Amino acid sequence: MQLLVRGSIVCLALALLLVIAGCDGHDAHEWEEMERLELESLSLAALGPLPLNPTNLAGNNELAQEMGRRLFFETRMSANDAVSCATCHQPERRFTDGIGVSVGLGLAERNAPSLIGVAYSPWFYWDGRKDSLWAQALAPIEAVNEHGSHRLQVVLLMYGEDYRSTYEEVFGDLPQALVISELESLAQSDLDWAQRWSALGPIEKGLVNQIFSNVGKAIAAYERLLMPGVSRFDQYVAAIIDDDIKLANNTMSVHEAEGLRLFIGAASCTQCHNGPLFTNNAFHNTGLLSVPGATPDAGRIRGLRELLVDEFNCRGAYVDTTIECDELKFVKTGSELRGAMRTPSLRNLQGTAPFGHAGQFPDLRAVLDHYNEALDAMIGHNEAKPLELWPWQLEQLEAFLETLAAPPTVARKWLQDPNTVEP
Amino acid sequence: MRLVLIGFGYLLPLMAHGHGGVVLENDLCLIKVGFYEAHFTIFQPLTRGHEQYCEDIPDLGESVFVLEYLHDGLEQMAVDLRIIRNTTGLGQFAGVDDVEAIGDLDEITVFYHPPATDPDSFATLHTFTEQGEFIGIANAISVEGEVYTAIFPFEVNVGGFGDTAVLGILIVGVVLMFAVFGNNLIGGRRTKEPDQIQEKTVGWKGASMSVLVFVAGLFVVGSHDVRAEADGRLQNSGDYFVISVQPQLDPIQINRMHSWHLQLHRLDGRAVNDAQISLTGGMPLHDHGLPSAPQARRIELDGHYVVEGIKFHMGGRWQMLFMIETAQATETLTVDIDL
Repeated sequence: MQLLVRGSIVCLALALLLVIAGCDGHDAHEWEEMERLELESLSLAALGPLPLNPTNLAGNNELAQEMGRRLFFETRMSANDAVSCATCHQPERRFTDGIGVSVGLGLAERNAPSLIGVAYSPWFYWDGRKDSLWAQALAPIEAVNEHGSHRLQVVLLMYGEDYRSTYEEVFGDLPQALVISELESLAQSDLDWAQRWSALGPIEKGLVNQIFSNVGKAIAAYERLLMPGVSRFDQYVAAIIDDDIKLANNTMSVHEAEGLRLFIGAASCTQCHNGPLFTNNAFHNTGLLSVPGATPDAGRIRGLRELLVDEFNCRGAYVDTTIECDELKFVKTGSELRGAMRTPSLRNLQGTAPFGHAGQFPDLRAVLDHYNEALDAMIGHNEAKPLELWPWQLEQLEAFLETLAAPPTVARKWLQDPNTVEP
Repeated sequence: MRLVLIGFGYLLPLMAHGHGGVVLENDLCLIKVGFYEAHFTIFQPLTRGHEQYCEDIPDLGESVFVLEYLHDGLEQMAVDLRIIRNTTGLGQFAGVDDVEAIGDLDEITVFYHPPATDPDSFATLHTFTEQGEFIGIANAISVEGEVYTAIFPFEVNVGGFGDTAVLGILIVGVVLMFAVFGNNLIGGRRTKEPDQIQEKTVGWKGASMSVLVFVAGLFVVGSHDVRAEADGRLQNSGDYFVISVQPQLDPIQINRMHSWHLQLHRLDGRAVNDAQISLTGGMPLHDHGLPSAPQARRIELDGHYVVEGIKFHMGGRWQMLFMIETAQATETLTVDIDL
């Protein structure tokens, strides 16, 4: 019986595809005025320049960008001298790692998201537990299962010959008293990092934190360069705006255009995946299951709790400029955040599977099937409503999503490890 | 030691509603600990996906126990969970006294999660390798040292599931029994507090005075753009107050934090300067609120206020609820907008 139903569905889908293929396709490329506005809002052309975050004044500093690139690929900020940011954010994989849950020194908590265009977000990590790119960059360094390092190890690296001159050129002189009187002697002791940290006084700790935060700011300066490239979808929108239907037809197939129509219409994808980066940067519980061996992820509700007490947050002492911190001031709280995760961008999905905050979905189709059913959440409640689309509509959606792929618009050198490609 | 029966109910485990869709009073997956309530469910994601169970679970293998706190207070408690083989011979009717009569539980314990304090929820998992009858024993330990215990007998992989269950025609009973160990005050607290909770849930006094009026002053010019009519202000009148609001952004832009200017008058036209105004809102069709927590403050003009920190993160219909409180009256006025 099941086979009969499936067979019928497949036949029907094929028949429809044949009918569609028989058309000249122009109908699929005709958009109402409202739809054109929606398409424009999704186009990369609508992405404004990346504003400088006042808490990181080195954000656009070229030397900081170079330094950040070196730090991004630096393995000496890890306990085993083998883990770097690029271990999980691999440039050749659109800055992801191709596995469900990332592996550093051990198994991390979640899936490594792409970094392309991430600098536009007000929140970082799936649960938004960091409110700046530079503060985020610091956390994996000290995470036990990721770099497993300590800020003291990082600071000592800055005092070393490889980084000192660059650091001082970007951020000013390193404090002398700290390194001579405290750190070097501590470094030669048998104490572990935590014990050495405990041995420092509040002033020294403050100095270490300042240097450590600057390391994050340099990494952030580099990551700000990782901008999305113009995709086939963006070219398509440009053609539509120019009323060049022929070019539109050559840019995107009918199948893909129908997927786009679903994306902004019946499938309601733009409720969360909106704007030129296809994300509202907000937090939603969409009912993803926990992965084997793990309990359900509390998501934003826990991330927010950590954010509010984070010494490196927007209100902390290590910002370059004191600002209003509106995102923190008006931050949403409450049980609605239970199990909620930040909406990921949909640009550059190609080659970044598996998907989901713990890599729950092996491919795009699995993601679409999940939203097509929108079943109960394990914790909190699933905000998503079942799409109830036909199988061929899911295929159209998937085809459309693949038109968003494009290499980042940065010079090749920024995607390479300077420690291996340069003398 | 006193035993207090707190909860008892039956349900259709395989037809349980989603958390969001459940009306609390109909949610029989409730654990009540004193006056605290928690939503208790078991999942077997590897074999049963999103299906949730309050009692019997169909398969051997990994099972996730989730206790979601529904009220403030429980999140400060340390919670532990013990699962024992049900040797009482009483099946699902085993009670606290029967468990106590067993004596040493260690020998029949198959799983123990030590006390953990989590402000959000309690979740743990156990992999069942044998079928049979079990009893779950959850203890919640208050900061003051009071111990509240809930027990729930259940079966693992003991018939009754499969196709019949998938068809949704099997009704399995579930019994949630909870005992409160502690001093004599606990019973009194239990009968007193639900009223207080109810008041908090209702929130604003004078809910009956709420005026829900759709303001048709906004219209869509693009999925992300909204404009106001004429002078750009929206006005809404209730039984006591008249508010008019004007977004700082025209058109409103998705994902951009901004302020709204608000003017408040009584029906007779007098400006209101002493109001406490709070803004909540959300998308009724999506079961979620605003992505930020806006705050209102008065500015130095008669009846003028500014509401800061407003953000919309998706297109669609939003409902903005302005709760206005003065010494004389409380009223909630609603403004709907389509983005």
